Amino acid sequence: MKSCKKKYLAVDYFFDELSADQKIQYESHLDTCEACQQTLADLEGTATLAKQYRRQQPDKKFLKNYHDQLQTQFVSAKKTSSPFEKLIDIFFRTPSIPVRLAQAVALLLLGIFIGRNVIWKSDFTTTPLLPNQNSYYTLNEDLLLKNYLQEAEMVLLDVSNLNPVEDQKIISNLIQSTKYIYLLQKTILLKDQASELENFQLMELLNQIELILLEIYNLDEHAPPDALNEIKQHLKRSYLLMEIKSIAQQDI
Amino acid sequence: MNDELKLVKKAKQGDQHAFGKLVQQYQNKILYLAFDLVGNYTDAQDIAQNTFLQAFKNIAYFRDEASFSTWIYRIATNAAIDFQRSRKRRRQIFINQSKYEDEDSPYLENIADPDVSIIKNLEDHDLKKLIADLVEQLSPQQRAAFMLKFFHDKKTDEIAEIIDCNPATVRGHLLRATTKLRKMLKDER
Repeated sequence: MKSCKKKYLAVDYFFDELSADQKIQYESHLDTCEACQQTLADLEGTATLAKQYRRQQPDKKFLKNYHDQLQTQFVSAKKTSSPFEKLIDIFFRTPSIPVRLAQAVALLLLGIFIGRNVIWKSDFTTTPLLPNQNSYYTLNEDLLLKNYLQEAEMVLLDVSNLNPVEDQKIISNLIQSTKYIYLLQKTILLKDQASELENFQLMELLNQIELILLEIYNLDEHAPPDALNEIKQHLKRSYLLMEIKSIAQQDI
Repeated sequence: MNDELKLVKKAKQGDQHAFGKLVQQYQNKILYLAFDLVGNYTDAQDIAQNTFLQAFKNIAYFRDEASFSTWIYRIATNAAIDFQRSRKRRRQIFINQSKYEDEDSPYLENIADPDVSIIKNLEDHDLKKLIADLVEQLSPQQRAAFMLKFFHDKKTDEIAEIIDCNPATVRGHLLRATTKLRKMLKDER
């Protein structure tokens, strides 16, 4: 049986998401197209199974515990708040226009004060990303965070630019390269350091980098192009490259 | 303005009580969605709690052009997809653990033809195993599209927004899943 380009319309037809005109046109096509008839039968069979399917239910104790935890975390906020809470509401959460104006003026004055008394009187310094960055210098030069981030950015940029169909060889070369293996090892070492320093922001970033690197590393030699495409999508969705760039620009 | 929109508006302004109401409205739906995507309630609970935490942190950035439902489903689906990826990674590194029981498949004996009336004969247990086997073979995105369509009644366009792809890709995922299901039944017959 030949495949039919219109079989994708079967999905919209089956779930009643076609316009009236499209529906009439597709019904007349259906009369003569075996591929679409089969597709429709598959959808119908699957929907029938789905209707019969009874999802395994969690036990009552588990569900109660889950609800209680959410209740504590989010729901139990009192509607009537204390006078202090009300002040917070008025000034910060739901400020009216005059309060917003007052806030803007106060911020402006604060900015002028800081500008005059802090910035112009001392060298411009920014908060370091790591609370105790000295510990990084006890390691090999390569483990300096800035160098690491540059390397990670370069490797991930390579990945995001790969063409899964044409560059199969480049992928296997990349994951076998010493550069790649070192980067993985450094990620793990830096994660340990970030954990000791309780720098959760950095840990989260390193976790994400490690996850992507391992996903590529675990790619089978004959992995279909879809597999790399998914990793590329994951990379895109995580905004990792943007995050690396923004952290690398900080004074680390 | 409907009730949900009012609650969302208040929650965006920092009203935690309103956010709590939204949590109550979605707590079970998100738990079940996470369960459908990861296959067990312990991980599903973590994913659901993280989803609400992310939503709480980012509610101020929620833009009204999408519905709150789509937005929260999107957070949950992404969290579940990321979880599945990390689980896959762990499996590859350590031990290849099978999540589902490796039993014989008695449901297959009942099915001579993937015909609707015969499918009705499937026992509850067999059906659960069939669906579990099917979703194990799907990629995280295909699994999400399949579950959102057949078990959460989402429209194709909404699924596309939730899993961040175009509607044509969602249709492709759904067709691949249904074809796979037919083949699973046919191959074992």
